[in-house]
Amino acid sequence: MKIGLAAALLLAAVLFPLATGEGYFTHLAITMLIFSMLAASLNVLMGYTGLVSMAHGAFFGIGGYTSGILAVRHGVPFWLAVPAAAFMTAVIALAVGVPSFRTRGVYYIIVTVAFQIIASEIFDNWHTMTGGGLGLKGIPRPGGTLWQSKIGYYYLTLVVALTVHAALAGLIRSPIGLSLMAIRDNETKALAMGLSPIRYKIFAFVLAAAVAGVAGSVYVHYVEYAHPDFFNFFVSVDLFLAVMLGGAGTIAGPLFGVFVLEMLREVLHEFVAVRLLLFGILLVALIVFLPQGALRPLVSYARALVPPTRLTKG
Amino acid sequence: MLQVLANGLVNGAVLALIAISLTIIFSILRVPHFGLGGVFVWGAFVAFVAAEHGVPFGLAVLAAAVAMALVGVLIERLAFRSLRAATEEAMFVSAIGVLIAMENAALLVGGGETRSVPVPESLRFVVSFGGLVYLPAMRVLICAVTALAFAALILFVRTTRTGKAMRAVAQDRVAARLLGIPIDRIASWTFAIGSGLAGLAGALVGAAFTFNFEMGSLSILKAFVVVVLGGLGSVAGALVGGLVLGVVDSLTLTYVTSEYKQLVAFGLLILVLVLRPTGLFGQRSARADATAS
Repeated sequence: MKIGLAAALLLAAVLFPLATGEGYFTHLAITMLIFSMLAASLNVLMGYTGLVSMAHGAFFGIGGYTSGILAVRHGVPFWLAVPAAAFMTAVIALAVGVPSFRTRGVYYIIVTVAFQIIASEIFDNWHTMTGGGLGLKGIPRPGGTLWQSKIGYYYLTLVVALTVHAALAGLIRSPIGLSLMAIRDNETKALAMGLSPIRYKIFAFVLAAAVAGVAGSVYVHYVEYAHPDFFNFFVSVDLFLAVMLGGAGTIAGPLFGVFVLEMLREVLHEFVAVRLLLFGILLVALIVFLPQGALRPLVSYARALVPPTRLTKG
Repeated sequence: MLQVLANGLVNGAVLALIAISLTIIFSILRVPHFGLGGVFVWGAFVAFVAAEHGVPFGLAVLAAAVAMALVGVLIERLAFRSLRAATEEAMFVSAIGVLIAMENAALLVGGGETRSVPVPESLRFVVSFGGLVYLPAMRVLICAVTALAFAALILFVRTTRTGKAMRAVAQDRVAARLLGIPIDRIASWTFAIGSGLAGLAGALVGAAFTFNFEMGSLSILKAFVVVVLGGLGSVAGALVGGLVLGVVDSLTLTYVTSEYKQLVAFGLLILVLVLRPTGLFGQRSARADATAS
């Protein structure tokens, strides 16, 4: 049944823009695809490695700005800017990640928060590079008329996102994924089994950051603009909430979380304070009542509603 | 130069007050209560509304502290009580939720403008310190209140029965419980005192400077820098750390850069945590905790 569902979703994703064309829903779908990459990569950290990071928005931004600055100020084409963004983000993640793993628990989260704040301040103030509070304007779409349309860019994003999701899911199922989970569940035991927790943590951190960098790059080339607010602390919290909402440590959970949160964001886009108030309460409610996320309980609730015979057919 | 130092000390006193409230709650209950940033904002707001409605200034500040103490008890019930056996990370997430919810609730109720709690005429004079340094009376008052709150807190924890129970809970929760100490009641007391202090800090800052609904997050993060500098769990450390960071901030702002002013504080935080993963004077090793559990 799972494979059937995945195939149906994939088919829907491929056919979707044919129905919505250049309209608003295609735009929404592109945004969701980009945020799904962010949530999935954060999930590798939170769900599978046991690292709570509040700096994913910063890596999203580092990717976005690297790519945007290269394209705007140096005329680097999109196809080179994306890997450059991934590389730059990975290098910075390596530089930050290695020392930060000396800390644990709350201290580790705080280091990520501090990094996020510093990154935001740099985005905001390095006027000659980032354009500061005015933002970086005129980031071009990739060359060729195909990518100028929303539909074209949608398929581009879809391919990138599917590649990322497939790669991350494959990684989770591989021996590396198992090692990450072993470290998450009991670091001392993993160490005793001969794994090097610090190496795996750094690997997961750098990988997640690089994916966020790619997402940032794809994002700024889509909206043709970069602004510090796209990548601030609240974006990090949003992503965190998306992963929590769907269920950290599951593959489908964060995707579900992104979908729900993005829909909420659209519905409440004129009421930012209401949305954030809601998100805050949701965060508390989730951690208190549903630390495993809302997707699994929802699914079992739905299953209980449907007579079992109909489920076995699908 | 002296003036810059004095301004730094005032800012430091504010930071110290918030840091002390953060420290009390963390050292006794192991809750990293970042929601205090929201409490801080609401403290300023309550004092503002009260003073606008003709409540005398001192009473308005007191009302803010009391109201926030009650709110703190409520927050503990709703957001932290059932997480008592959970990890620090889980409690941190809950605290961030509280912070965001409270800040935005304030924004919804009060709007986005920057305000100031009205100060009576009698407090609007400038104090001269030997003609070298001049400070508005409100700022001197902040320093005095911080010193007073610090002294009162130490006295409370050292001499009262509740204070003794708090220390017992901080040392060993299980043993404390076995000896018949009501953990839930102690948790309520702890949150009441911590939140009351944060509310007091908010009201005073709102009166001496200005306040808006975005100041909570940054203040509480700064307070955490202080707590790390001073060593988690040490109230005296929070006081000293607050004053140091206030002065450092003020010096950076005047002599180094006004654009990257957070960079210094948070860069310092990362540096300290990386070099001393449990803070400058932290006694309990996080590493030992991780292996023990």
